[in-house]
Amino acid sequence: MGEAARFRMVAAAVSVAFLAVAAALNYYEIASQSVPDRYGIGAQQQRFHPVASVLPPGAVVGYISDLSPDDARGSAAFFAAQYHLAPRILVPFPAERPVDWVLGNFSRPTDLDDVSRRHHLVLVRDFGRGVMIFRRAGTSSR
Amino acid sequence: MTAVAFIVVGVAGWLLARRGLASLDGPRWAVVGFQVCLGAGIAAGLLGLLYFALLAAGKATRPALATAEGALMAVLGAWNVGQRLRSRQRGDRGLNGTWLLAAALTAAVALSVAGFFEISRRNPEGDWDAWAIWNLRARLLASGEYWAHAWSPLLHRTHPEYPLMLPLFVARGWTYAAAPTTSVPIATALLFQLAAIGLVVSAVALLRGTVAGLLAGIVMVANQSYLLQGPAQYADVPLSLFVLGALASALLRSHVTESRALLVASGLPAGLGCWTKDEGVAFFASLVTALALTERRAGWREAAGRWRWFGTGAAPGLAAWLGFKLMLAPVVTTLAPRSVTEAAARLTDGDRYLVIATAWLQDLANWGSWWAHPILLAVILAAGFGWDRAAFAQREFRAATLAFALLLAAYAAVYLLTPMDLSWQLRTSLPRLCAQVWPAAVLLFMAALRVPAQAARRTTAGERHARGRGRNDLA
Repeated sequence: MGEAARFRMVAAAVSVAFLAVAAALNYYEIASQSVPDRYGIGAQQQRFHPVASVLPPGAVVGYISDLSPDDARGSAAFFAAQYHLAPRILVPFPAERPVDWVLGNFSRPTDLDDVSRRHHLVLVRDFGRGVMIFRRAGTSSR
Repeated sequence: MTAVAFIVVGVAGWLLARRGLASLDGPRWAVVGFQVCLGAGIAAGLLGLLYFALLAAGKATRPALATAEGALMAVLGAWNVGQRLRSRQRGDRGLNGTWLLAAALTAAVALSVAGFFEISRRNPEGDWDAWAIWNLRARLLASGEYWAHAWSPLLHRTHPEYPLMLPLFVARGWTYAAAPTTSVPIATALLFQLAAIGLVVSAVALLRGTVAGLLAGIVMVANQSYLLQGPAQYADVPLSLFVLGALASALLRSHVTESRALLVASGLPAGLGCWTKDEGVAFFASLVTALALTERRAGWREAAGRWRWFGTGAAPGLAAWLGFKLMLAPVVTTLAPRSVTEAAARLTDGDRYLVIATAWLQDLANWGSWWAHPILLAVILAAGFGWDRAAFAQREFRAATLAFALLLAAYAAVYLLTPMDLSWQLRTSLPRLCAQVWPAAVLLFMAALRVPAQAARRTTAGERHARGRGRNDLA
């Protein structure tokens, strides 16, 4: 192997090594600037924690919200509730199949009487911070 | 107990690969590295299946899990009794300058790990799909009585039809931890990402020598987009490890006289890839097609023998995937066109090709800063070292490259045919698809490069003597 080829190889290897370390430094900087709890998933745990003591673990639970499930904020709110309330399964309410329990997850103060009346629900408990549990009117309490 | 869950994976994986891949020859650190990294990925998949069996038997408690895995470890330990590492090489000692590359790789990996923890500290639940899909299903699996909710058709917008390798492994960790702590999915994500980096380094070192191995690792961690997929806690990095493991084992067949173990080692991650993500099925089909095409000249008896070993390896993951899809998972066909006419219309729509190509280029730009872009690093290496034309003629290399190309073609076909909004689909999935193939791309690139320290060529007696030559070329 000639001197020129050897020099070319060494130069390539050293350049790549140097640039890769610089790239890793750059990655670390990007990582250090990442937004904490970007979708508020961690923060939602405190909101939903007390709900778990009321809802039966195997229940299929209706989900009602003032946020549209079709936008990112509404989707994130739904999945945060689903994640923290597993193994219960949340289904958008009104649901295709009848559900006994309905979780309310609201981002703004809401007229609960109006929600109950419109959907034929009975408020079981308001946990505050926009989280509440309803039951379908006519079903017996637990 | 969380630590125990991961120690078991490392030890079980190494014991499995140490005996199974005893025929590997090359620098000792590379042999052990290959065994540990590939073994850890395979063990994660197989231990997840064991956990699944315990769930089905209603025995997925911590004592039962520890007993079952303890028994498995004892069997693997007994299987390894008397097994010696064949390699007598301690590395490419004569190569001055290797330390510089090793130091650079160490620094780059350390910074990557530090970045991983920075992101995980801020977002311990991972990114969107982690809590909306993967870890959600792990929670359902780990819930005990209601574990079958993990594939309930009632689950809303969370793909209950997705395979279960990653959720099972995370649920197994939570059973050890006795709580759904964030440390388990974080450690799982780190395990797979580090194993993928270690596997690239060791596999390329076995194929091309220490210098090439270290450079492969350096190029791999220069891809910021790939690194960002780790703390996201998605299944794409685990799949990338399986794709890499299957191709690396297939490539290494050219370096051993007895390739049955490597055929099993190629089949195992290929099968587990199916059990990880649906894209793993595309990879499996690509690999089988590529092997069939490149090995068609072998006699049927020889070919049947090879397929038997490959199939033996692929069986656990493939059977799990098939059983799940046929018996448990709800049927979802969101990515399939509704009719032949619709498919033909999309295939002949020139704009779709343009949109896909543009998205690929835009995603490429996100892999890193222009001055340290992984493609730039690859160009520098290609210019500095040149191509090894002999590699292109090698059957195993052609098979691996063809499998890789077929996989990319399958991805492109899905984008062309999808009935969903193409821009949205590209925006939300392309970085993940790129992550799935990135380690394998680095492997194939480095395997084709003429790096002058080819530590492990075919292990014939004459070539073993010749192997030492050329090690000092970079000095």
